[in-house]
Amino acid sequence: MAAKEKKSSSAKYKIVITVGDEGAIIVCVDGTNMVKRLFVPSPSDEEFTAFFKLFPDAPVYILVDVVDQAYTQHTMPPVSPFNIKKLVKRKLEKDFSENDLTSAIPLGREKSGRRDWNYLFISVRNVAPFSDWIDAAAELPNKFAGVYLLPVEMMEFLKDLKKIVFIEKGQKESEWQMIVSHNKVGGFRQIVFKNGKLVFTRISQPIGGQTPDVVAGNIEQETLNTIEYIRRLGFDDEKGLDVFVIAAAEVKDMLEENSAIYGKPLFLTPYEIASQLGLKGAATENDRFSDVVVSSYFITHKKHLLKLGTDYTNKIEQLSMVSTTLRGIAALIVCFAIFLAANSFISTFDTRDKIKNTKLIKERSEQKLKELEEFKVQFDKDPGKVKDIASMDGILSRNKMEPLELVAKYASVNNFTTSVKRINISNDRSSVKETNSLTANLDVVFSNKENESIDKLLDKIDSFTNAVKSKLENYEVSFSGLPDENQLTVLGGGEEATNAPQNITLKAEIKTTGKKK
Amino acid sequence: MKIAVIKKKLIKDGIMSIGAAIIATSIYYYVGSFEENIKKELRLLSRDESMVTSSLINSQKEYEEASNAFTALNNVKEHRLPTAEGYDSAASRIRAARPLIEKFKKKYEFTNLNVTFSGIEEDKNDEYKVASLKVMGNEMSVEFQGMSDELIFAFIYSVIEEFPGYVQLKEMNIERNKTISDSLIKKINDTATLIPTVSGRMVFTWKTLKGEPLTTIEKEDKNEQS
Repeated sequence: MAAKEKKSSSAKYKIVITVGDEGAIIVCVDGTNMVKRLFVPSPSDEEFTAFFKLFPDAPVYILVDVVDQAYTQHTMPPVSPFNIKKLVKRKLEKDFSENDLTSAIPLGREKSGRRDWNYLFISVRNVAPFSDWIDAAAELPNKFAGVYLLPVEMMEFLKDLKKIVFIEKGQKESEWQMIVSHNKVGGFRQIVFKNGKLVFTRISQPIGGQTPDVVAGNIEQETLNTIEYIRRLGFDDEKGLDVFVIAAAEVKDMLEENSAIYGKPLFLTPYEIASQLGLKGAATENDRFSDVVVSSYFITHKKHLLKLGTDYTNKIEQLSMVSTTLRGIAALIVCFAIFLAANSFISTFDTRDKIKNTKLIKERSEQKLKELEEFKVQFDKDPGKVKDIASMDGILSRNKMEPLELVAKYASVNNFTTSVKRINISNDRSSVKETNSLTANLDVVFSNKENESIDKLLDKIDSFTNAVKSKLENYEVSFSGLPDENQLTVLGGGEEATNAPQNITLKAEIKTTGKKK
Repeated sequence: MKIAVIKKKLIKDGIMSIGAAIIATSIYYYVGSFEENIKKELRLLSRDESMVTSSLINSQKEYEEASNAFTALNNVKEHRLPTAEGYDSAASRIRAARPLIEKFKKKYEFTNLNVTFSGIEEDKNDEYKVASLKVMGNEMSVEFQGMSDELIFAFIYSVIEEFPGYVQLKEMNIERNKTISDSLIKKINDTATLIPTVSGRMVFTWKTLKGEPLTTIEKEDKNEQS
């Protein structure tokens, strides 16, 4: 029947084999949906291998619910956190058989006294039929994902259960909790937690048949027995105990009607659990056992608390890890190389564009250069010589007409009442130094032909000198001081001057200012 | 048994992974080499382009300089252009100056005009250092008596403009000896003689360019050079 089913090649499936003393429940999930479940009494059963052929890529987990697992609390001396692990390891090696699967869960330190360490030592005897299941699972072509213990993993289950029962309803939880589940492969699994941590577990087989009243009676009795056990671990009635019983609907009804279980027990069916935890298809209303629900919860839950393995399974996992790592590294190299190659390839387009542009620029430059060379050929004289001549002409022609220009500018101011009797020009403009190098000295004679008054004549002289200064604004122009009134008097014949003299001589000096014009 | 299977798978995975890595790396190497070759081509091309651009800039500069020089040369008067001798001897200067002096003496009605030359020397002023030319210079002293200051200034202008090379007035001293009056003009008209009213002295610096004269370059040679 299984062989007829279509093989799934998707890697999104996960499989858990919950191994008990009566056989194993195999559950395959896809996300949070249970897609297939199977009970097999022995790993040699044909249905066992057929199941895995349907999901060849699904990793396989083993969840242990056998009788042969021991949980014992140990108090360790208050060594440093670094050394406690070594101490625990040594003690595990000493206390348990080499073939056993062993581990320890820290339960915290004592709050008073020496502050000793508390550990829960765990061991699972690796003997048949349990070892047969591990061997069979390890030999499957599927990836082996490790061995996990149902009581340990139920700590996570308890958290979600408490959320549903207490937190959402706003009720206060007790310090102690107990889960009693009726499992097909193990029997009545009882797990006790203190402050959410596993402290005790036991399993017992049903006695007297599987009828609801017998099962309910068994549950009541085993629960009372367990409570007696945990009293030795420090439980007392004042601290309170929350009891969760997961059993078939008929059993639940009977227990709810008349239960002798301690405190306020909560009875749940597998179907109710699956519905509340969102495990689709993990249980039907008629399901009597909780294995499938617990298995589905474990396999869909992301966090797993304690992973165990034999030397053989560890080696298989190591090799699988090497293979995965190798493929990962190769994939990384391939991706990186492809990324670089793609990057380089894209970069070539940019480079090609640059080449194209550069070629264009080069061609244009070459063309211009050619045109210029052709132009230069058209010059019929040596450009070097021409440049020298032009340069020298510029230098030697500089300011050559300046003395005449100065005279011409002066002459433009002359108003026929003055005449220049003498001009002396000294010009060093031909030298490199140009500052104050051109000087003209003029003797200017004013003729008073119209016998004007002194005041009028002086006004005319002022007007004339101002006009000369204005015209020759780029030169320094200075006139000798006019004769004073006494001289004018003398010039006028020794009497108080009423008329101006006939001629008055001024000395003018005109110089370049040193500023370039 | 499973370990053997896993090991076999591991070897297979290893071979495939290494193969894939080698192939991918080879692809990258090939593409990378291809890219490097293209970049190399770009570098070479950029270098060439840079050289061509540099040549172009130099050539443009040369062209502009030459073009400006030729434009400037058009403004240089022919009698200022360099000559092979560059009037580097007193004899050559006197030969050049004599006809001009005679011409100006008549034109500007000098009653007396004496010109003397100083020795000729190369002017080694830093400003005059060019590759193909030398500047030869001397001073020219002129003592004169003339009819009017205006004629004297016209004379100066003509000397500056018409003498070969470059002439500049260095010193000038003009004195008016007589005032032009109606009676003086009447006397000139009556006697038909020139009566000087101004006299003086002036000194010119006279510089000429000595160098190989400009000749037209043979186009064929130029073409060959280019």
